[in-house]
Amino acid sequence: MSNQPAGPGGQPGAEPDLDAIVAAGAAAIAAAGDLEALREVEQQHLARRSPLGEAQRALGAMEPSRRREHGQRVNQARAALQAALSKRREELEAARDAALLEAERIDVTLPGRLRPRGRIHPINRTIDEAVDIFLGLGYKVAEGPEVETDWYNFEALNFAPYHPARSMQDSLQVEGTGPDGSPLVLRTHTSPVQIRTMQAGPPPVYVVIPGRCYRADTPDTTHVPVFHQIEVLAVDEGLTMADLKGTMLAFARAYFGADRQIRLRPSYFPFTEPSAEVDVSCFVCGGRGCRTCHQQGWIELLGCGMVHPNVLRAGGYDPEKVSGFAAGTGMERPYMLRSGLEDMRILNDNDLRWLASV
Amino acid sequence: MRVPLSWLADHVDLGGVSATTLAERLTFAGIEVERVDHVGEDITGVLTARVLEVRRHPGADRLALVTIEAGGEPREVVCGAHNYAPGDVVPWAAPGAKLPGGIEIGRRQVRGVTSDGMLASARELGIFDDHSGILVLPPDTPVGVDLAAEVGLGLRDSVLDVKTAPNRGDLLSMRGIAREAALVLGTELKPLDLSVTESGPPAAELATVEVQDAEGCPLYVARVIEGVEAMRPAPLWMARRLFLYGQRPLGAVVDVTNYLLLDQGQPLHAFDLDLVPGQRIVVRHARQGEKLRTLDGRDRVMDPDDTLITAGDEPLAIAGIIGGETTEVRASTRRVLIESAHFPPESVRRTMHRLGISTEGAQRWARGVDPGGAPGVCDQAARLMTGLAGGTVSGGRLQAGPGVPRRPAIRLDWRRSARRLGTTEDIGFAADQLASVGCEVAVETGATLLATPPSWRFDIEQWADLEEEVARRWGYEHVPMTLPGATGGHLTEEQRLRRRTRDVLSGMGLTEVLTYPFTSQADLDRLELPADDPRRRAMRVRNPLSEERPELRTTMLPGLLEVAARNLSRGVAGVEAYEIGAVFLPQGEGLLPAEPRMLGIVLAGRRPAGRFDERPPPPDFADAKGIVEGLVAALAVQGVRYEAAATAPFHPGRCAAVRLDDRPVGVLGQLHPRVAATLGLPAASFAAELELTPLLEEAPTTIPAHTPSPYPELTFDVAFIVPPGVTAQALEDVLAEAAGELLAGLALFDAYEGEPLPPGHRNLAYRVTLQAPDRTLTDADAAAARERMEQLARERLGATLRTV
Repeated sequence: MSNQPAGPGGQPGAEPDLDAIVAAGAAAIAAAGDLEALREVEQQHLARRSPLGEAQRALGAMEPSRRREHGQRVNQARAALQAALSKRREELEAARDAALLEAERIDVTLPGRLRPRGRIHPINRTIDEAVDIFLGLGYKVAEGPEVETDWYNFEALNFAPYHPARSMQDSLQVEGTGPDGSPLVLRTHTSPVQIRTMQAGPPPVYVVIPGRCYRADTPDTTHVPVFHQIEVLAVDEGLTMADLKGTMLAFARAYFGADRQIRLRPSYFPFTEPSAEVDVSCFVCGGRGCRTCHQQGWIELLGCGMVHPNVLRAGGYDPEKVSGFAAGTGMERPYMLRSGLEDMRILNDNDLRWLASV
Repeated sequence: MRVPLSWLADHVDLGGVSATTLAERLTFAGIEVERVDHVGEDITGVLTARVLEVRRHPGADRLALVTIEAGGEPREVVCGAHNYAPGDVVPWAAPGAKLPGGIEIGRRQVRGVTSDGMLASARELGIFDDHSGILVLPPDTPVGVDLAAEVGLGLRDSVLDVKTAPNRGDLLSMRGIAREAALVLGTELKPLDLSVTESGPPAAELATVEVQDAEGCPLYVARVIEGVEAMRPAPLWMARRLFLYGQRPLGAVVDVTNYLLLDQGQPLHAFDLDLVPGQRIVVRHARQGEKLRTLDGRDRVMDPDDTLITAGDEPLAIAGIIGGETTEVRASTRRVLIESAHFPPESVRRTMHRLGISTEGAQRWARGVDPGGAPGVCDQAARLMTGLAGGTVSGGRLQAGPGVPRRPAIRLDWRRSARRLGTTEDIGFAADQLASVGCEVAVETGATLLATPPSWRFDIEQWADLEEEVARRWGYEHVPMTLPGATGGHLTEEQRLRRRTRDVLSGMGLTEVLTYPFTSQADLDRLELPADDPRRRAMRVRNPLSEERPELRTTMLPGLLEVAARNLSRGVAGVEAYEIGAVFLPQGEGLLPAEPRMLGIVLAGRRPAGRFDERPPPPDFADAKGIVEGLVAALAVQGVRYEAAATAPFHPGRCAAVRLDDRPVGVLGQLHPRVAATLGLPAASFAAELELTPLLEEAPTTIPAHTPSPYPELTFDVAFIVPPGVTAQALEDVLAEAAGELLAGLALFDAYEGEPLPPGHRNLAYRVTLQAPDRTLTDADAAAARERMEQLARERLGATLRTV
């Protein structure tokens, strides 16, 4: 070992200069730039063949009184160097770890790995939400065919043949006739399910009816020929217009927020009487007037009314014994209102990028 | 119906109520006012002026230099029209005036002469559509006043846009709206001027009327006027009012019929009496095949259901719908027969529907016209026509028909109705409200009353109609709010699982789409469905939204594949979409179609990239199958199997029929390369179509939970070489049978085909997991299972176990 430092004092039996040994060791420890160098320093300054090791070995040759006193000093010197070494090792290990972690640094703003992110169509989500409100109010879900007979779609709902009210709903007619002998149509509303539900069993009836409907309309920003409706039908003994109004308020608040108010305007539908349009106070401005409500403070939400006696009869119920109410609306409009969508046609466009964005 | 307040004021004292307030009150009484337009506010600075002198423009022959006076200094304007003379009163747009459309009038040079503003035509003022000359105002018009504000042309007005319900024919006139306005304002209708001055011979000597079809025409009223000039122009105020309804002036006689239709709601018809053979009117059923050329120039073929106005033999008009050409009022007309009849809604609707004609008159008859008004309106027409077109009214009305029967009284159980509405059971309240809308009311007891609806209210037919009348008079805002005691709200199992299906599919990354359920044979041609494929049998829509797709879909595939192609062409990298919806399968005449609920799936383009720097490959068969398997697993449906199939539009070697136990429930596969090419889709496009209901019916409400065995599993691997034609499914079935009840898992981990195996042979390697509920399995169990597997696979499938 050519670089072995010369022992202090040089002569055997002579007392080595422990202060110098510690000073030299401490300097070497401090100078070690990495853990490898530190291991070398440890070899040179703390191993058996280091000056300190020599000093320790030299104790054996000393007389006992001197040995005790001198041994104590040697141990102190070793402890000092060990402490310095440990401290330096910790420093160097920390530096090494830090460098390693730094080298592993990544750009955390890069995008994550894509997990499947499919979507349910916004209209179906809207329908589910509305249905859930009525489930909570104690209603069951009723469904029915999309190809209907003229009788179920119109006559049973109090639209007389050729009656001008029929022009409110231009139907798509399907070739052929149904079991009741009347021509087939694609249903223009979900209301035929009212009749089918009543025919299926005795009152009471509390159902919510979602479904796809068809009208011979030209598409524009607020109309599409294939659309979705939801309606409710309640028939029971002693149901009143107050029940209808209360139910409308409950729905409006569940869907548009607890602070909403409603108002009823008289209207006309062949299958209800009295009939009304329900306005809900604007959920954006609270009724002060804004863009969403066209400065009216109110938004037209749905149509409703007490079930017309002719409709109860068509369903096989006795209008002298039971009464009922019905309410319904297209689902596209409430979705547009809440989402801010301005063109209804995009709901039928099936643009996957748009669908993924909503 | 557009209702100018100035016109409404002819019929009811509006008492200074604002248009907005009136609109709101009407709306909350059930007469929906959709909009209030304030018209004419864009006209300012137009004054009435008297023409003093007309000279030729010194620099232009075709221009006139007109001196006018409008209450101040005489002014000089240049004018291109020449239809006025000194003394006439004309509209003068002074410098600084504004005309409709934001046009501002200045003082400008015209060929070297300064024109001080301009004279205006009716069209330039937006009064009505006439630009043939300057609007010459009536001679008694005051000079020097603001035309828009002070001359009674209704130029500056508020117009209510009233949406009338289809059962309220009575609201299709000023008189009808005025009746409702009087109710909400608490005032009275103004009386009508029904005076008429008769002279000359009695009408009965000039013409006869007879009704043979009393059902189609229970009342026929007519008057005869003589010596008219039918084409005299209607006065400005009438022209203006007709213009608001999009009607052009057609001469005083016809204009009066049109005007009274709007004003009173009674459609009238004017015949040139001299052109009516024998001056005889007979109302009768049409004869089969009878022809009439109507005023729109079309030849109409009649049906015995139709009611005709005839001269006995020759048809003259279709009752209530449209007149005929031969007796049309024209310039030469001197004698006019004014028809003011009553045609019941049902018969007019039928004929209207059959012929596809919808005139202003027919629309009113179809909704119901007040029969009580017919004689009075006939008198008004006679007075107005002779006042405007000259001539005299012959003595007396002509009348035929049994008359319109009085409406039957309706009994209202007010106690019940009051409860339904949540209002007072005081019958006097109901009686008052009904009387206010014109019903004759007789209170029977404390609880019921009899009400006879007024002749103009065709919509009041039963007690519910009376109930509604009271409710709307009372005001819906007074109805209290309660909630009924509905209970037991829940989804059916199928409804719940349908939602679950959407959740699962969307959770797997598919996007739900909703396509129109229309298709065509051409769509099915593109899918290369054979001619006898049951999906070729589709129901047709008579009036389809698009002639290209006139049929109801029998398969979800065309719509979904179109969505895929369109999205790819728009630059979407990969399509993974599904749709749940009905298809329509004809069941034969007299039956509704079956509407099974289908699930369609499409995969095309690239698979979704996991990370931004990855370029994923296109999907393969396993992607499509994995989705179906994943759904089946999520629903925990047992017994679903896949078998090789060759069904259009799929690749014959890459198509699987999906079976639930023994029932086919769907198909999945790669599109046939030719079909993919036809549709503009990549070759690696995949689709699936499943009938959803049977799958959902087989899904357990709750997945049965088994208790895991406390004893360890034993696993070993087996590999078999199977000859051509043996499917993995077949081998798995055999291995499962061989392993018996101990089998806890059988998972394919390798499938290899190629050297050194003989051609068509495959090596299929499985990890087998065995477990017993009651003991720890040993190597002997594994050896026994392996031995049985080797034996069964060899015997049944000709497969050989590879020694691992």
